[in-house]
Amino acid sequence: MSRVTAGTRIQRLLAILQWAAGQPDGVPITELCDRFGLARPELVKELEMAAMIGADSLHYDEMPFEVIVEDGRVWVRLFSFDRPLRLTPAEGLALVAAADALVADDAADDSPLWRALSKLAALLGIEPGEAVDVDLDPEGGATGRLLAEAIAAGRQVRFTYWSYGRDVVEDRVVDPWRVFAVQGLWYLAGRAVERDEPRRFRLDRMEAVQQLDEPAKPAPADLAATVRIPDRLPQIVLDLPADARWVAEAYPVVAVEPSTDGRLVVTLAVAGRSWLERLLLRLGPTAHVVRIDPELGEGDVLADAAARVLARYR
Amino acid sequence: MAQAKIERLITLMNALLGAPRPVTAAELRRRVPGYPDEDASFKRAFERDKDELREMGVPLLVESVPGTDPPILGYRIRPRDYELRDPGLDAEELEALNLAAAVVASDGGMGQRALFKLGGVAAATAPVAEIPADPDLVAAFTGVAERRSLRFGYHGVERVVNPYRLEFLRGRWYLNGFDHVRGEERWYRMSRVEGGVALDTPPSAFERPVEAVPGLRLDPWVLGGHTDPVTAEVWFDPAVAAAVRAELGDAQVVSDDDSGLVVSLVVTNREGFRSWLLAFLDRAELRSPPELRAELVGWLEEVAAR
Repeated sequence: MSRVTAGTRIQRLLAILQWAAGQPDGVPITELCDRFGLARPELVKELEMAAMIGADSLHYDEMPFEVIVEDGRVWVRLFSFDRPLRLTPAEGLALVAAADALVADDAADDSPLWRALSKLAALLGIEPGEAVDVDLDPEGGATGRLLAEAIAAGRQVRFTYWSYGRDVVEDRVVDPWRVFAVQGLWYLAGRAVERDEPRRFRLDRMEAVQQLDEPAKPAPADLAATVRIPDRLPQIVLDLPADARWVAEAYPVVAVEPSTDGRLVVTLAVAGRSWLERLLLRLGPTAHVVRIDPELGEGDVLADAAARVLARYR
Repeated sequence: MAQAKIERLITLMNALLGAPRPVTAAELRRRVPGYPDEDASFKRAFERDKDELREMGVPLLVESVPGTDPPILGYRIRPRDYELRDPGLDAEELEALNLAAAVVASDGGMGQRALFKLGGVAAATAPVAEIPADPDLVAAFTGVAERRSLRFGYHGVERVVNPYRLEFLRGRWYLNGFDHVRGEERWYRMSRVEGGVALDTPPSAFERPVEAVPGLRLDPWVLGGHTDPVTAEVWFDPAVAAAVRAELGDAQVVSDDDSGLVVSLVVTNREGFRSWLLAFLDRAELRSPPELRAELVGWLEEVAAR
């Protein structure tokens, strides 16, 4: 669990006590530990604290609960706090969002989760599936599940991949390490076997994913540091009209400088020539190339790309 | 220190919960152990404790104590405000919720805290996906759930909005509602909200629309578009067919075989459509209608000739 605030600790303690109070014969400490995800010393500390509350008061009614710990068992009697505190909006949202992410979109669903979501929504005064809608496949879809199986089995995978930046479709064999999501898009981190290099692949650009019999080499200990964007990418400098300002927001820019008439001079790192062709075609005639890294190829990138696409229409 | 604070907060809550009449600060100071002796320090500690209780969601009622003149303020917590109504979850439903909250985690562990209250158990698995949540989002959700108008800045304009629906799509939260400033229903990207979301009215300030608000479409050929709808038919190279189907879903597919994928789209934003289509370079071809095709060819010719 992430940071535990005083509020979270109090709510957790009250939940523990309320649950234990429902067991007339007491409950083993180990069972409480499992149920509430606490280590034994941590739980015992919480229970000891609870036993102290109101214990030295002169008035019996200042004691909210009685807690007895003996022979590895816990008995609780509640004099107060016998119902949980209502849900806060933050808590309600978290649960509704998690449940909504996992239920099927059709409301005819009668799964336990859909029923739970409906009851929760009624409690919060909203319509299930209408007030909050979360569109998120928590496993990365069928492709994600196939890859997760291969990772669990420690096997290599083969798939057809569309390299967007270079606009090439080719077969890849990969030692799969991890499937993860960033900003709603799913990726596989792994080692591209032919090149012997760590790489990231987008799941929605894979096709015909299959698990191979070949065992995969295990992932390095520090995964995060292994798969990253290359430091040095070729650059392009563009002179853009004011209405193409979105380019500076949508892509990681190296530099942005204002130019005349509200225009902008933007320096971009470019993943590949095809990526650049797309950007320039989309921007159209009002964007001007000021300077281009020779690594990105010969000739007029924009005119060549336009001619190639036009060939489809002739 | 943290331990002492927790003991004190629980004792404080216990003293106020179900109190027959408002309890004054002076009385609480006597009854709740652990407060500092010095007056100013007590005041500060008591203020912090009240804030802490409110953050937890404890409905602290402030009233004047009956029979005091001049009136003295007192505090209490009414059980009917405090207590969670039993949503009546059966064991199977609770288990399903537990699993959902474990798999899809939200910032700050709020889902887990909610589950503890509902009688759930601790998550045994690491989350697979995380959904971002921040105070603005919580305020927006409060507005949706309690039907309270919201006030926030967006694109440099202060808006007053009746919030209807929150949607999480492609990694981002969006809010839908009726914008009093613009006089129409709008979608807002939560990350673009300027200067925080404030609750502008008490609960039940507006009626929700009778018909459910349709979901947000982020498709570039629709989003923000205002031209008359045209149905476009587009061919894609088999090599990119899987990626296109992953993006569009199957409903738009006209045919999909060795000769390629053909999809049909209703376009209301022509610029957005052109931009999206050109990202496929020569792996896509706009087949019809002729009018839209001529527009695209014109654009390409202009670019090529420059």
